[in-house]
Amino acid sequence: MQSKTVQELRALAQSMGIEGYSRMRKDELLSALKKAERSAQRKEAAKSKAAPSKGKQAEPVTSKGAGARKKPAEEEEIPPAEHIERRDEHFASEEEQVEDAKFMTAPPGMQAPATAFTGDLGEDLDALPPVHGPKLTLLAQKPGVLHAYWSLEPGRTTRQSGLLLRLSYVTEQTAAIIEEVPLPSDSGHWYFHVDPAMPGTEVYLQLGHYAEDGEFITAIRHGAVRLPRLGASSSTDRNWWVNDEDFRRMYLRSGGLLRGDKLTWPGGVSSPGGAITSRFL
Amino acid sequence: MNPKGYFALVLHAHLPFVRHPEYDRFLEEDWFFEALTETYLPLLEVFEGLERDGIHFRVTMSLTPPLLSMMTDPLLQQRYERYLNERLLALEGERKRTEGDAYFHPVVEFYTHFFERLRHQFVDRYQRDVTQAFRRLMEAGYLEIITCGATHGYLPLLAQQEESLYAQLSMAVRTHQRILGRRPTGIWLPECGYIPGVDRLLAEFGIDFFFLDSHGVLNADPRPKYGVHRPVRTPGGPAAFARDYESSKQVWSAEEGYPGDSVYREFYRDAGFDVHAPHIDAMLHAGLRTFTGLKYHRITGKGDWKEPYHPGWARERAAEHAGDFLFNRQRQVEWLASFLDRPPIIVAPYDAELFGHWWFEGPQWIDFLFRKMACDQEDIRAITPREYLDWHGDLQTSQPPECSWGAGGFHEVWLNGSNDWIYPYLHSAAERLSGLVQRFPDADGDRAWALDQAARELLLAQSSDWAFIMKTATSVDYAVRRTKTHLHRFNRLADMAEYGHYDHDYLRAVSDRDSLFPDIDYQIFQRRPMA
Repeated sequence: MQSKTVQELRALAQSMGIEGYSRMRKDELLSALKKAERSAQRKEAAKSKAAPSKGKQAEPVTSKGAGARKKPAEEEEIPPAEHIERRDEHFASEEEQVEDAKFMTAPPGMQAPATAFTGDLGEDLDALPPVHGPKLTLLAQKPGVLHAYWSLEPGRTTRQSGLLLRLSYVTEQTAAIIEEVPLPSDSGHWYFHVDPAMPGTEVYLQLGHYAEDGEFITAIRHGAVRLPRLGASSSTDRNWWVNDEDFRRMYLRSGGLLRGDKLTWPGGVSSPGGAITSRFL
Repeated sequence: MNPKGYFALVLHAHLPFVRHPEYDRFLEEDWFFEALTETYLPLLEVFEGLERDGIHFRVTMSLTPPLLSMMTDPLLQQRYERYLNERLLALEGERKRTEGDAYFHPVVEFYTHFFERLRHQFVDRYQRDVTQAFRRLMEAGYLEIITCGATHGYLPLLAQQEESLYAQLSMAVRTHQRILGRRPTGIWLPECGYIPGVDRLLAEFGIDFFFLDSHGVLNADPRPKYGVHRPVRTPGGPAAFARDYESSKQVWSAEEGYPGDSVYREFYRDAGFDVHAPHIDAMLHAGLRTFTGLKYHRITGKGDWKEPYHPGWARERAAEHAGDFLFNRQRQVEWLASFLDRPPIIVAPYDAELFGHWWFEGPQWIDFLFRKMACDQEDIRAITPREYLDWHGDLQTSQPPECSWGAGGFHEVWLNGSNDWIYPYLHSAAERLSGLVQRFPDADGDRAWALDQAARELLLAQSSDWAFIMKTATSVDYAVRRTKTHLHRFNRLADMAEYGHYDHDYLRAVSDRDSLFPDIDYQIFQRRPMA
């Protein structure tokens, strides 16, 4: 987050519905975004009936004994099997929560100790080494979402107005423009939301501008990117033939559709920060 | 009698390379010490017990190159011994503090025996090197140890420069062979991240099999006749095994999973936060409250009130849960065998650290599971993917789609608003390094030194753990700083190699800090023809 430019942070703030973002300085933007993110999380947690309770701490045990209780452990009976909701709304999956536990140094809700690490060989942690040369890259994030980043020499966007990012798709017969976005800065990121069921499987990205005669002049292009596919293949192998009904049964039983259920994209809204619900702090 | 089907337990053991000789104690090194304490050493104890009792068992386990490097690092070995000693010392204080307490004193006694046993296992039996214990079990045929990316780089998002994929695989295979004495024949792709084309690269390195999440095989083209219950052969050659959804959710799932049972140990309650006493404070880092690994409570219920942990009860429950899991797998195999014309394999992959670190009783559950599987039934038999391919290797050829096992099934976890800023830097550094390889194909002396170290820095920056941590918001500062530090170090080293001005003090200092892969060769970043 720290590494984002003020312009990128403003765009994020706009997408989060933060008021007065255009007048804020970088540190103000950062704290406003943090606040908005926290309140969004709180709302989410309040919505869920099984709100996690792990974060809070009971009284610290400082003296001998831990309060009066009726019987020592040996005389009690094993409690019946009971499944406790461990899932924290914070995580998108159980796998994520388990993996996250590997890096945890304090329970949720407690102040985690700050890291002692600072690069001690003269590394400037407030800056990053420059990315050389004009660059334009397009990466698939998931079905329906593509991520672009670009980097031009400093000052290019101020010297030359009208620079655009243009996303197109190609099929065997046609090429068509999906979206054009004015370039907001010399370097940055953009998430394109496209129809996952759009025709053609390959998209490409150009950075350029319109000439006076209306022709699009390409400065940099990024070659074809295949859109990730969602759903089962429609082709069947003659040597390993399987009928539709059997395949569907096995597919459902194997949880094949669950992945699809989890995928969401906010209907065609492109933005520099990606999905508005993404956790970014 | 032939079993109706097979079961493959796959454990992915990994931590990023965290080693800081420039500090006397370092908070994030505890990640590794906690995993040794609760997962790696207890798993070895379980495996050795099964071997001793002549129980048939098979486990496929990835030990990633950074993990192998940390396990064999003398500084970290010494610091882990200190970690154990500190806990044993603190436990002496805890025994006094809880004396006469019928609830917590037995838990403290339990931990004292636990840490004494670990110390004996680590120091006396393994001579501080756990890789040799894993290696022995591998050579005896119980463990199939597979590799991973050199630094767990997320391949689909590094594929902009194919040389990055090549470097990740090449250094992984080399490290595996150096430490375990064998070339790996299988791989756990970091986060199961796959794009078509990776299959062809794996074949170049002699890799015969890898793993995908369920949808990776279900959505393969053409349609896989056996769904997730048999591997497919990728066009590049290696076989792709799919995660079985049913067995997975019983262990992972919050709703149906075992680890949330109320008698199991509570992960989040820790003496480091609960107990204020000098002998506990002695384990903390610069006085900052942090996990100590002494966790005295059981999950109990949803509220804040937690009852004391009772190891005996938890063990009973682990046995019940192992029986339940086995029963369900038997039913599953019966159902599958009723319509499949070949024996199915149920692949159950997990993060190794789920067992022990997250679910403290997990290693006991594995112990009970294999004992019951070997002694109580004949429907299902434990197997490794390698053995399955040897016996039932007539596979359908099909190309899996781009996918991962992360939330959403694609790349969103490692590419979103919290971490997208790293990719321009990672891609541009890889481009620069492969340019330097082309320009200096036969570098020696200082230039080779600088380029080799630059390759280490780039590999470390590519570790997918940093992007993951930035996303889940735990220890974000550390992940951001590590990424930036490696990028800065890379840049300075690349400048040295390019312009020929060498700073030997700097070269020595940086090689001492980021010291993994002693046999690296910068040529692994050689430019590759586009696929």
